[in-house]
Amino acid sequence: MQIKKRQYPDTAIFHLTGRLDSSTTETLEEEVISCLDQGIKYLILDFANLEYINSAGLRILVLSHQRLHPNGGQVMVCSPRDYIAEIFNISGYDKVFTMFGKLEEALRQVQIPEQ
Amino acid sequence: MFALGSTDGGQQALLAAVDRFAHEQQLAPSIRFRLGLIIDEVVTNSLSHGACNPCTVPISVTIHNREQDLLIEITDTGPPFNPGTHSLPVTPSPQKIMPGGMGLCLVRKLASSITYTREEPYNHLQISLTKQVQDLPCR
Repeated sequence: MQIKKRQYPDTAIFHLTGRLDSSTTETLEEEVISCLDQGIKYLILDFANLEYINSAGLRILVLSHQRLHPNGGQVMVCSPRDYIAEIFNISGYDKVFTMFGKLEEALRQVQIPEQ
Repeated sequence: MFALGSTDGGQQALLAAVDRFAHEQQLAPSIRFRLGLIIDEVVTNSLSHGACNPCTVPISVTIHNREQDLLIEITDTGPPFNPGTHSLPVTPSPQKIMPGGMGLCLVRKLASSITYTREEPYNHLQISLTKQVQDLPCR
């Protein structure tokens, strides 16, 4: 999996490419926890190029939500492929995380200029 | 048939082989994804319950591409465990969501049927995955 990160004072944006599975979650989890420890409020995950996610990958989102939600923060999931969006629906996680069809919509919500 | 003979990287090789099979069978992307996810979650669960520790008998995965569905057969020698009876998590809410338990929940909801038998020392699982897209919430 390829991870590209952009970080702002309140927000971290992760662009993920490839497979988020048991062999790749550790790398992402370390990066995400590092951002959470620095006090971000919003975690934006760009899934436009994500091909696969399993429960180990979903767990990172849940752990992040547990850290952010009590302080008014959010985990935002952007541009998932249809079959990945279905997993959020089936799991009920679409009611927990904020889902966006396009990354630009999430960026507008956290007031980060589009690039 | 695919086999997982070691825990060190073996699972990823198994999943890659399953994905190649799904490509060769020209399965739709959503079905290909569901097939891989079901096998991934079941094998992960088997490994976490000691099915491959030590891995003297490989976990075997067989996929039958039938007209209406895919029949997935998974055999291991771990402790008896029927994923079909695994309790489903309650509806997650933003306030109470907890990590864990979602893998087998997804398996139960994506599968159209799960049949478990135990023939010592083997767990034998038959999972049917319909080729028609279905969505059943985990709640």
